[in-house]
Amino acid sequence: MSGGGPEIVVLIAPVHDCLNPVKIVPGGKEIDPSSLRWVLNPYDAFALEEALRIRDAVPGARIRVMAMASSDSEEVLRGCLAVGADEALRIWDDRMEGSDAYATATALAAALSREAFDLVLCGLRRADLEQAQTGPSLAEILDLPQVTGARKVEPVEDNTRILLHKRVPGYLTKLSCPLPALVTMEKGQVLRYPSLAGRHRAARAEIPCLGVHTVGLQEGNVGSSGSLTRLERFTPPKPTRRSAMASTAGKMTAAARLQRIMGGGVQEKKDSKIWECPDEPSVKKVAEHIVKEKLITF
Amino acid sequence: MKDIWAYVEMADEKVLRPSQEALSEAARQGRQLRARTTALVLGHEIPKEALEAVGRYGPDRVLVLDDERLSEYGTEPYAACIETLLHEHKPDALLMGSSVVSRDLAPRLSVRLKSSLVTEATFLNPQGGKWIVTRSAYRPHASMIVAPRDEGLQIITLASKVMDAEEIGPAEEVSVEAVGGPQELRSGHVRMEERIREIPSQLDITDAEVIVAGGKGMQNEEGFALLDELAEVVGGTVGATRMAVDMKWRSRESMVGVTGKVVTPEVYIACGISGAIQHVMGMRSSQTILAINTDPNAPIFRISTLGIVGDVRDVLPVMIGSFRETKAKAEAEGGRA
Repeated sequence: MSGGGPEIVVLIAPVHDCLNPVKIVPGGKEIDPSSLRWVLNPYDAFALEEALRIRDAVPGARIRVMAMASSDSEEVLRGCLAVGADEALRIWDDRMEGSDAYATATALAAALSREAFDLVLCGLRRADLEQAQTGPSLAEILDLPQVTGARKVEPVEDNTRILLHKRVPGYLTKLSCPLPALVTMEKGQVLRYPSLAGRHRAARAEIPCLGVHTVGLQEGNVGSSGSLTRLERFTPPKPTRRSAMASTAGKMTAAARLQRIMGGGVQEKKDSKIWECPDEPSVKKVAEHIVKEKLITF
Repeated sequence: MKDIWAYVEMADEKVLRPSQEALSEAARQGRQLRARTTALVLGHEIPKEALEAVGRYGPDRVLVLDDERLSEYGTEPYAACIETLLHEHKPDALLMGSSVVSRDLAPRLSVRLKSSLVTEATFLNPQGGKWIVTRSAYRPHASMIVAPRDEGLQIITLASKVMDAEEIGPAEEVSVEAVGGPQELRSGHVRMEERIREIPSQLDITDAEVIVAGGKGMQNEEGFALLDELAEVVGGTVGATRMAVDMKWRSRESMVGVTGKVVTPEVYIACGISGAIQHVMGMRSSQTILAINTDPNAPIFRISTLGIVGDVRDVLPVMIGSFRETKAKAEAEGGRA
């Protein structure tokens, strides 16, 4: 801890808002950047709100938000400043393009190790790629204790540890974790709205950007060469719902049919059954079916 | 590929569903590639029955690490033990189901061992000595196919309920081997202060695994009492449509839909709900949807896996009775065992 209150770092991932379709470029190597709509990862919003609540409760606490993201998504960081984060920092360099979760964690860990911090907060996972790796990977690199999937963080008076609420199947647990530590949030309070003053401050704020060498890494540590996995390609998904069970020989155009075949064809929903006569034996049959398929276990 | 591992999580001598999927997928890959499959179980005082349960999912051997420091899950000791075993045995893959534990553990193992990790896998395609993995991304608009960059161990966590869990039957030739962990084991930093058992009926509906929801077809507040009864038997939570909330049959907390809460339970039982789009948008990602409605043309049937055309007030009592019987039977058997 550096003199004053606890230093909190919130790791932010700008993500694509999946309500908007993405366009896969032919060949599938990437997503057409013009089809991406950047928003704050909803899980990170829980982390940011939790940080703001800790700062409300603990005098002298300071919040810095940090993201590894290209300048396309700088607005997302400005949004974090608008709701009350003290500082924002971006890590980017064109050489970071194509980083997987491991390379991302490496870059963020390098940037973090240059600063003093007590608590690192981030979302449990990123909503667009559905990866939940960066947080714990970074904790491993920096050898920090971690709690993944917390729902609430309670500061403790002496600021040497925190209390966390976490849900595990069947139970709600309360955990104690020494600081410094990394916590990923599964759920939490809704992120507050920015004030007008906050918006003004955010619009004027300077968001520094650190490159590969500035954080103390080499080219080989980031991008595809710093990654442990390689993206082969993106593909359109298989339609899975019943509404997608249209006959392939129907009125589809050749192009639409080809697209469906390339997407892996139609996957029929298993066990789609409707019973029309509501007499006792047939209702019992449905109940037995549910038990047999282990949809509900007793 | 010679050796495929599956990490097994258990509770009360039962293999948890995500681990059943990991074990089954390991066995399937093993058969296809003529590789050995290994189940890895960590814990303390693991009963023999539990290991037999693991054997039913078809592994060739079960490795058991029994240590008193592993009686409760902790990131640090568990990661250290698995790391040691992976170093020693050098398997080609470690499969894990989608769970609170794998989410906590897999990334740390991946960094420690510099092994590739792919999460939320929906399909594993063995090719040239490694697995090319399909996983969802930008759902529902795309998925992505990912390969490991280097040779060596691959860690893969499976998406929930995508791959089938199949019991192959009592395994006679499964060999159980006790193995040791690292000599020194750092105890975890995180300490459990309190653990409170959750009561399903009092859960927030966004946390519920089983939701029993009612709409206009429930007719009145008394109708919802039937839903409470059903929820109690199946360990579920009661939800409601906007209509039911507006009629004050249920509080706003339990409203499912665009103006209420968006839920994705394992099972959604829609009772007397026609399936207006505003409601459907809040529940259509549920794993299994059972609809009960008088109108065979109700839109709810278009998205449901199971459907009963009939009046909820006739159907529900029969269904509750049937579930009660099953539950009583299960409890009697559990008592004997």
